[in-house]
Amino acid sequence: MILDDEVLAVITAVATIASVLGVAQLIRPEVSESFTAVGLLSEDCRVGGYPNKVLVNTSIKLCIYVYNHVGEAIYYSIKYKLGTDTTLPTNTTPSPAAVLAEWGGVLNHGVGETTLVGVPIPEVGLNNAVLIFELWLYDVGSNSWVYSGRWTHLHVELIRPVG
Amino acid sequence: MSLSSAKLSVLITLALLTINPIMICDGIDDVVGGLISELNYLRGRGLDISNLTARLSEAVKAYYSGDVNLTLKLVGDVRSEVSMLKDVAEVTYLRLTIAKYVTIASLLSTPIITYFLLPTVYAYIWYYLRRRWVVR
Repeated sequence: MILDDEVLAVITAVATIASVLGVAQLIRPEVSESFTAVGLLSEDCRVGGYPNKVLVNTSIKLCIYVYNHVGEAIYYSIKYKLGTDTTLPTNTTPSPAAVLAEWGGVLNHGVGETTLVGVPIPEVGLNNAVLIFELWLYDVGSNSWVYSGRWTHLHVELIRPVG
Repeated sequence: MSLSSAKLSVLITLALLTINPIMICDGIDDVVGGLISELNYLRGRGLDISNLTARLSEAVKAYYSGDVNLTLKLVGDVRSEVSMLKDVAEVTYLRLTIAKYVTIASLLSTPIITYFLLPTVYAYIWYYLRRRWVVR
């Protein structure tokens, strides 16, 4: 035999491994771990440079980043609340503070989006507050909004004009 | 009688067209949620929905900024395109499924083909390349 038996065995083994890997790539699920993400960016849509003092009864500009990796398109809403350290959301429960503003959008799987928003700062009688941004997803099965367990927040000092 | 029924149908159509924007804007979540379901169905059938989701997102943002007319226009565009794509979704899914399983079958048969055909092909090439050799 021109082609040695051992050589043929090695080539066949390599072909078998390559074939199995190729099939595994084809039949594996598109998303092995689904998640969403929300992030807060500065007015220039960059990390850092966040305001630490804000004037009440005005609004500040911030960028909000949302990323979808759940394997399908999502309809999301960012609910903005003004609270304190005691009213922060958790991974399972949203903040009990009232919703002051909302921004929404639709994202395809594997797509992230950065949106520049105007964040209102009403008078709430606090000197130190937390700007809370919660990510809610629309559940098409129950036709209702569901808290995703993802949020981001920013500690700020509320200042008032003198006089 | 037929004229009055025609008038009535026109009036009903006009009334529906008049209240439709209000209905859409009152239940934006239901409208967008329904379209998301349909878009995800199309995505599951192998169609690229990135352009449609971007337009739907634009519609939602227009709604949040208070531009009802733009919202209605974009939602209408997406809805009509979704209904058009639904017609080709099944054919696309069938084509993609066949292509997928043909690829899997080809990949799985590669080692068997290699084992049985490689010695023959190798021998053929070996002799072909030495066809002008002279044995002295």
